[in-house]
Amino acid sequence: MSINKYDFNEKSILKFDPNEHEIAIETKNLQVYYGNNHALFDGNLQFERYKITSLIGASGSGKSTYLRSLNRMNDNVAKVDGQIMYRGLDVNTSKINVYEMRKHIGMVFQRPNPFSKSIRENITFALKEQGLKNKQKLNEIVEQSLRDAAIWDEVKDDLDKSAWSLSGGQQQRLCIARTIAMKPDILLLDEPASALDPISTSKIEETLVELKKRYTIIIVTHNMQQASRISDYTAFFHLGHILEYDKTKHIFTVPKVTATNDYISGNFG
Amino acid sequence: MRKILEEQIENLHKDFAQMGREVAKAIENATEVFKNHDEELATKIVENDDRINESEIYLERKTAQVIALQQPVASDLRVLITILKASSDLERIGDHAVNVTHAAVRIGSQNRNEEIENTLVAMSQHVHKMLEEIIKAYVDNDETAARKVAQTDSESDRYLRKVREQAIEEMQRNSSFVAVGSEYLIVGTHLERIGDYVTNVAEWIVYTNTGRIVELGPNSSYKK
Repeated sequence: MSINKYDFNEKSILKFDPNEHEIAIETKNLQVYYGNNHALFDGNLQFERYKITSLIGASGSGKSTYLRSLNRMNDNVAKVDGQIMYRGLDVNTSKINVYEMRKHIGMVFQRPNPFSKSIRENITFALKEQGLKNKQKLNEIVEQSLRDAAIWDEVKDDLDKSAWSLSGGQQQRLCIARTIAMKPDILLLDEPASALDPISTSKIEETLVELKKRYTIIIVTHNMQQASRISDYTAFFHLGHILEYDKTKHIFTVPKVTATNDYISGNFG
Repeated sequence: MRKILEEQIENLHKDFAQMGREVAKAIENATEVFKNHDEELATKIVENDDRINESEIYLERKTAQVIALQQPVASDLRVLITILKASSDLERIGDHAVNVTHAAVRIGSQNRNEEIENTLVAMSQHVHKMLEEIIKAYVDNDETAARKVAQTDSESDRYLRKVREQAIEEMQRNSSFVAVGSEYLIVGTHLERIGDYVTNVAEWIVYTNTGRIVELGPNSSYKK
């Protein structure tokens, strides 16, 4: 079986009725090029507010490329054409202050990457850089962010210890806390649990389900069960094309596109 | 990984089809007992039903294992859900065949009515054919054939109405016939239920193919 056998015109992409679903962020006709390599074609997706959306697909399918485009992590790496509409603004234009935009659209990466600082300073560093000096306010944000990321109880007595003394799973939740300390609207996560054991993975998943009450979450994952367990919507990427986007419960029971069925069933490649 | 899942599903398909054939045999034998009052065959049907029950338990256990260990989704998951649900339907058909057998034995040789028995035998042959056809539709994963089989369940209902009319008429005419007439009604009801369970299997074949849970059969108020 060849992975090229699928027809890229066989697509099924969910569109929301804006009267019934609030769209947090939307891409229109997004194209990404690494040099001459056209890595993502026609990215047209809408993400509903306060929901978890999973992006799934094989390595090289374009899902991480797409995710990273959403908060301009591909700037200077790739050429990104098309619109990324956030609160009525196209954030994919040179007029946008990227650093300001990333406060609203935060990213957590695959490998936990805490700063080489204390647990507390991991949270406060960016806030202090922004000029927040009030110690009480900073402490409040530290506690709230760590609570939101479901790690407060584990670290509350060790806030001044090095973040590197934490386990991988704890480091990743600290990175989530660090991101949500900036009070973003949208959380982008690029395989946040792929380097973690099942118990840490489960804690991250529980954390995300809790966080979606206040954040819109978009997650790239290679783990099908993770996508099916926690996400409300799932988009399937294949060789740079988004072939199917639908409610997760439909994708995993009655996918409409042959390639999706084959991929999630492991009957692929 | 994929190969293991495919092999396991293939084995379950074979076991399910085999169970279906055993249940079909049970109906055939029950008809024979009804016609000829072969008590030896009656005992065999009851004994074989234990095997049918074990087949259902085996299929349920194996299907649950495959779901837990291979974590299938989409079309694979639908196939397994179908096996899980339809094997219960087959098991119930087996129970009805046993009940027909018991009724046939109770009828004995007194007060028999050839005309009603002919209707019941034809009805039994009809539901037997329905079962054989649905097993074939399952093996071929043929949704169209499954829907056609479900449509023929209206024939079972017609047979049941005929049996009722004939039996009640005879019971009204001859009170000594009431005991046997009641048994005929019981047999007819069991055979009609077999038609309903075959229709259920047809619905699961549709589910395997489309993901839709539908109501088929002549009495459905929301046919799809």
